[in-house]
Amino acid sequence: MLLQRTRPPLLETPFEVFDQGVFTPNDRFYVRWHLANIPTSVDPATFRLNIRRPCQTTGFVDAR
Amino acid sequence: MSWCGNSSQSKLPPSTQCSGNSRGFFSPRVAGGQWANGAMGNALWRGVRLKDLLDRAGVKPGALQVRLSGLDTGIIPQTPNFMKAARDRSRARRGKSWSLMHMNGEPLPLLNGFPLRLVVPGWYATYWVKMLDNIEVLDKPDDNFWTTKAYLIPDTPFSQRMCQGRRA
Repeated sequence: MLLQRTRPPLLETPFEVFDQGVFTPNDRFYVRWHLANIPTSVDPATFRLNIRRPCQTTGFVDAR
Repeated sequence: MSWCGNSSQSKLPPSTQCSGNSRGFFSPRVAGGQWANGAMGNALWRGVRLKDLLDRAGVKPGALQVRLSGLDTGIIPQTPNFMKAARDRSRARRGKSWSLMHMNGEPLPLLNGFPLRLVVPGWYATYWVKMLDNIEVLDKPDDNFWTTKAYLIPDTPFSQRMCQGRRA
């Protein structure tokens, strides 16, 4: 990968990767973040997706 | 997460690219990441439709747009929260957007947005929010910084510069 920036991480896919197949392997897929602070790990057991609606209370998509 | 894992899923093979792809070749040079042509890629994405998530949350008619943000934050408090771009809710309701948990048959890598990433076929990756943890349904057009100021493509190149010159 071509390191464009470290914080936030910007990683570019070397162009020859596109000649090796239709799909870009995950470890060669480009990376672009906007804000510098990104979690270094996320626990799916405690992760919540919040959906907020106008004039309604906050809803959580979590059906465990 | 468990609901997402158990609900019906579909696969999509859209390609995506950063809205700044190839910026490094621009002349005159412009601010931003100086990419060559490698800020793009194809993957086979698998996940849950945004439409199903909104239905699950009980979103009612009358909502206009959806605003999305992820877990990334700025270094200083003054940085506007990166609420990436409002989207036409009707489009979301038609099932064109996807919250993705798998990429090329594997869990999303952390750097690519684990555990959820929005996939919006045909739209710049600006909208493909990584580590998606907030969806806000709006009943009026979004007015946040990133939507109204930061991510605008002028109809005519340099038109903004010319307009500024006239005002001066």
